[in-house]
Amino acid sequence: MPSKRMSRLAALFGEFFVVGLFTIGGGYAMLPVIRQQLVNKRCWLAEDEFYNGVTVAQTCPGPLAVNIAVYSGNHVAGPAGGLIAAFAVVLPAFLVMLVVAIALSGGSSDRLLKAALMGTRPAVAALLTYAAVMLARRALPHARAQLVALTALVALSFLRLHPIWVIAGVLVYGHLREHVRRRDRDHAGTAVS
Amino acid sequence: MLAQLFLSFFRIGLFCFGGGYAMIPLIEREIIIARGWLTAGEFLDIAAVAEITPGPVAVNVATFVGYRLAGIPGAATATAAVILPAVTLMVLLCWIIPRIRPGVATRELVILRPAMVAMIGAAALFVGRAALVDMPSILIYGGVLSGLFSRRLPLVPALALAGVLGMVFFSGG
Repeated sequence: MPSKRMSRLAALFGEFFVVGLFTIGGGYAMLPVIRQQLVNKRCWLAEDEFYNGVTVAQTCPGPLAVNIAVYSGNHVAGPAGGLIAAFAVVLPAFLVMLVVAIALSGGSSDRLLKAALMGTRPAVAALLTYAAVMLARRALPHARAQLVALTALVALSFLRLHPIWVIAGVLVYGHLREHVRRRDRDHAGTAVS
Repeated sequence: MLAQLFLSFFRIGLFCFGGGYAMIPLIEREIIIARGWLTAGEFLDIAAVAEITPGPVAVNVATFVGYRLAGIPGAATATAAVILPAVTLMVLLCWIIPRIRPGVATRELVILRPAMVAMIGAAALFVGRAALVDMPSILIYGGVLSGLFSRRLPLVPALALAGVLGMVFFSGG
């Protein structure tokens, strides 16, 4: 039934275009909108399938909005659905930003606009400080994780290491630690028995 | 130029774990330092605009930088490049995950958490260094930060307020 499939893909496109349009302020702002559209309105995903999708989306690199769109689209209509949903969720951002880019590069001599943008710069810095502190509180439960994060921060900001190496380093360290911990536990187990 | 744009944004998309903010050190490295395609100040303006326009920050930055460097084809190339790794990997993950032991992917994520915190911390340091240049900017920073921590000031009104304060402080010079 190709026509039914086409209408499903069209509906996917429509839903994710709306999601993309109303995601102001990054991926996490979008989660309630997606839940409303896909779980409550369309019943394409069950509640727990939606939260599984969020976990998978966080595991994968890339913008959260795009990852969730691919997961949901894939769930509803296979890989083609994933591609359509990703395209649809990005399209509003692309179009709006294109207009902004054209406007800014055309008449960037406007003094008030420049002054307003100057004012938002420290606000963006404050937003990032806030995000870093909140994430550190939530995601670094013990002293060792805090030490790893601090080392990575020094490597990034002061030693000017490329972020790719820092990510690789943390990944290797984490695996080595798990390996050592598992071996110690196994040793302890054989010693007792 | 289009090929370079594509490669840079593909790398940014590939290593951007943990959402848009964690991507800022990568953009700093790939776009601002390695290529000189933007100044730190221009990037901050885009970041502010990205916060108040729809869509992921990564996509917004890609569209803007791509347009700035190579017009509409550049914007389309950079935007496609930044989401291509995510789309490809997600399609693969959706196929693989039902077939592997549950919890494997989550464990990788837990291991990466300190790196994500560090990336966002580095973003805050980088942006702070470029943005806090005089008394008014430090005042705006302190005001917005305390507003966010007290949970009395939501993000979009905070940015609007900062814009108005900017007009008051900076339009004279």
